[in-house]
Amino acid sequence: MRISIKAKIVAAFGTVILLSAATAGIALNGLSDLNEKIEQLVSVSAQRINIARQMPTTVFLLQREEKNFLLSNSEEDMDRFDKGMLARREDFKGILEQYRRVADAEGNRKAAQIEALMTEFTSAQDKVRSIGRIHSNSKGAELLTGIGNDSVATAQEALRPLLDRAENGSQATAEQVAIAHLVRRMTTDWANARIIVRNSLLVPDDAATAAVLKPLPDLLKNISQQQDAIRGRLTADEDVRAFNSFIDRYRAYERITSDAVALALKNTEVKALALSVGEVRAAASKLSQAANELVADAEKGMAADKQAAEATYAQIRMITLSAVALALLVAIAAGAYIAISIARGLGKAVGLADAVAIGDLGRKVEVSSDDEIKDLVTALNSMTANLRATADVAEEISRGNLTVQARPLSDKDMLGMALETMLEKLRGVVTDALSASDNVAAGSQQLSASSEELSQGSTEQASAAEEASASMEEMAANIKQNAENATQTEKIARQSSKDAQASGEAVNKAVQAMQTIAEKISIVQEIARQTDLLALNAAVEAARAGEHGRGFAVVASEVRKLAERSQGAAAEISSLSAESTKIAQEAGQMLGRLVPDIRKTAELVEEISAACREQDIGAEQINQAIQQLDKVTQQNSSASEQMAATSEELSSMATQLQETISYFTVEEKAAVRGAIARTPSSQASPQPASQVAMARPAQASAARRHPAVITVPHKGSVKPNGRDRGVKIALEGGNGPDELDARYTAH
Amino acid sequence: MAVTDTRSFEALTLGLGGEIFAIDANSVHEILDVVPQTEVPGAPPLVGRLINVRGKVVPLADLRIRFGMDCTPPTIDTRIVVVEILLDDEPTVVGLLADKVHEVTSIAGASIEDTPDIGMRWNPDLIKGIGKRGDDFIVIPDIVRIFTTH
Repeated sequence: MRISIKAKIVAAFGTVILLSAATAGIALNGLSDLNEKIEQLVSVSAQRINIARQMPTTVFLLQREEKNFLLSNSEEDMDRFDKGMLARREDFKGILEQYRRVADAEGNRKAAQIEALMTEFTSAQDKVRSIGRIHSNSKGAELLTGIGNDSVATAQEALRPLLDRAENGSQATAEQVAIAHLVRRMTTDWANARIIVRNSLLVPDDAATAAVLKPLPDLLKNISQQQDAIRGRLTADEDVRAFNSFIDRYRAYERITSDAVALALKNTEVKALALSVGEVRAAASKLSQAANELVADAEKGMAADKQAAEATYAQIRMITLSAVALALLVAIAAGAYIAISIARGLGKAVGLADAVAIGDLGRKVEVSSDDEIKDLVTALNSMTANLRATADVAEEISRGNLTVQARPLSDKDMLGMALETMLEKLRGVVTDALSASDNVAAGSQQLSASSEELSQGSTEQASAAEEASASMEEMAANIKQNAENATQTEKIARQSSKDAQASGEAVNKAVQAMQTIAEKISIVQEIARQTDLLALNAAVEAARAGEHGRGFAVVASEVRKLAERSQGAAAEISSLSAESTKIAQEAGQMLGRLVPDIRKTAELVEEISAACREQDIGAEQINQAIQQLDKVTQQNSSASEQMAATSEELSSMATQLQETISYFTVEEKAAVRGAIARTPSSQASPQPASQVAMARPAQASAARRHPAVITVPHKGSVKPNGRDRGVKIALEGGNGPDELDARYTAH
Repeated sequence: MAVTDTRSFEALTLGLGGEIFAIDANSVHEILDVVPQTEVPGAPPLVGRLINVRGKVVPLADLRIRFGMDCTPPTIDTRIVVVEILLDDEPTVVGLLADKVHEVTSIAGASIEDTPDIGMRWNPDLIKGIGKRGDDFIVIPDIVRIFTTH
């Protein structure tokens, strides 16, 4: 049965979703239950507690109002607190009414009980209210501090003159001092009586008041005795008057004191307090106890409600958790199953694809499940089979069998189409290569022959070039000789030019020397002339001396003659030197003219020399060029020989290629080709081939003999060769090339 | 003109314009080379210039003007002969320009002849006589007269 992956996944997810929905339903149900419980807890139990708790509080407030009532002194305060008490009572009643509304049967019973207790408490408190209002002690105290103190102060004021006179006055009589003493004692007792009365007001209970007031009557009697004693002693009128006024005032005080004592004996505060502490408190505590019981009951009820809510919560939690766990288990199990089944199938498919990727086409995969994975594996298996078929075709081709047929599986089968195309092309290529290798074999043989001839021609060219080179060398030697001679001549001419220049300078110097001589001679001439003049003067003197000067005259005449002679000689030298100067100058000028001529000659010779040198270099270059030519020719020769060898090799390679290509069988043509190859060889016979082959070496040898005639017959022979090529391919291809090879190798 | 003195005398011969003149050697002070000359404007051409002879100013006379000779420029042989003559019985020093001074020689009085009246190039009044010496004629000028007659 086929269950697809989709169906599996849908089933698993559906189960999980259904379980989740069930869980959610259970949880919702539980939650609503819980909600009801909480509602009960909040709206009933909590309110009961709340209201019940207000009861004791109100009772306490009532008691506080009562105490405040008792403690207050003023009438207004009392009214205020009394009103407060009544208000609290109303509050309590209200609270009780509220409680009754939320209470159950037990609660109602308790409420009735509390109401009875409340009535009891109210009646007790009413007593306290009535007694508390009297406030006897406080009134007594008020009496004492108000009117009492005033009367005491006025009374004592009245006594002051009597006391002042004795205590402050400077001239007091003994009588007066005694009176003052008595007055002081009386006032001291009076102060004690006042203290007793005040204490009686402060003491709370009746017995204690009686005890305190016990000494009072004696003390009062004592005071009146003392008053009588004082009156007896008084003599002065003003003193009597003062004392009488004092007595009047004292009587007023006595009345007040008796009132105060009466009030003190009443002791209403204490009675009220006793009531409050005793009867009222008992009632209040009963009431509070009942209220507290009510609170405790309410709390108990609330605890029970809370427990119920908790139990419900635990139950819901339990159910929800187990439902979730179940859903989780189902989901995990289904997921694991689906994942494992897909992973296993895909793993197998991947293994197959990997094998194909590395070229292993021999694998096949089986899958147990029946789903999409199985489809994938089946498709992969068929792909592998197709590839294997294609690989078989390729293998056949690799064995050289080109007769196999490659059919593409579809018009999109790239590999198949490529294989088909490849096969076709390969067939074409092999065929073409075969024919081309045949052509190459023939062509290379012809090339070999031609290069042989080329080699011959270039050898002759080389010998001609050598001869030319020899002649050129001779010529170069002559030119070099010329150049050297010209250089020598140039040097000589240069030297001559220099010498001529030096001669010119020498002549110039000679001219100068002669001019110097002429100058010197002119000096000599001048001296001679002067001497002549002197001699004349001497002669004149001698003549004037007459007879005595005769001897002197002779001397003078002799001197004069000498002078004249030296003058003459000097003149002669002068003229001679002038003449020789002139000649020397001429010689100098001639030399001067000579120098540029010689220089010019030197330059010309130099040019000749340079030309000769250039000629020499040119000749050398020509010589080198010829030698180069010679070398190139020789290289050509060797190259053409090498070419012959290479073409030989090429021919053998072509044969090898033919053999190699014959590996491929191209349809039935393999047989046909062999026939064709053989037929031309038998038809045309090896004769023409050998003739052609023979003719070429013959021509080559002829060319070797007559180098001048090389060009024409060579060209003629090339063209027929070219035409032959097309025909010859098949001929030589069939026959073994060994024969021809052997011949070429021989050459 | 008659020859007043027939005695031979020492004379200084000098050349002037190609002729040889003779001056009494006793009247000659000295012979000088050509010295710088100062022309005196307005003076007679005979003594138109002055020279300095050892600190004394001496008039220079060119006898060639008197004898109507060409006045050639001075040469290397040109000399000045300083003579002392009596003019109005007062010794006066005068420089005479000479183309050349030859020598001091004695001229015999016998050889001196009178000046021929005719055939003379110069004024015979200015010449004392003509002496001979060898083949040459020597003219003896009358210096005083030369300066005194105009």
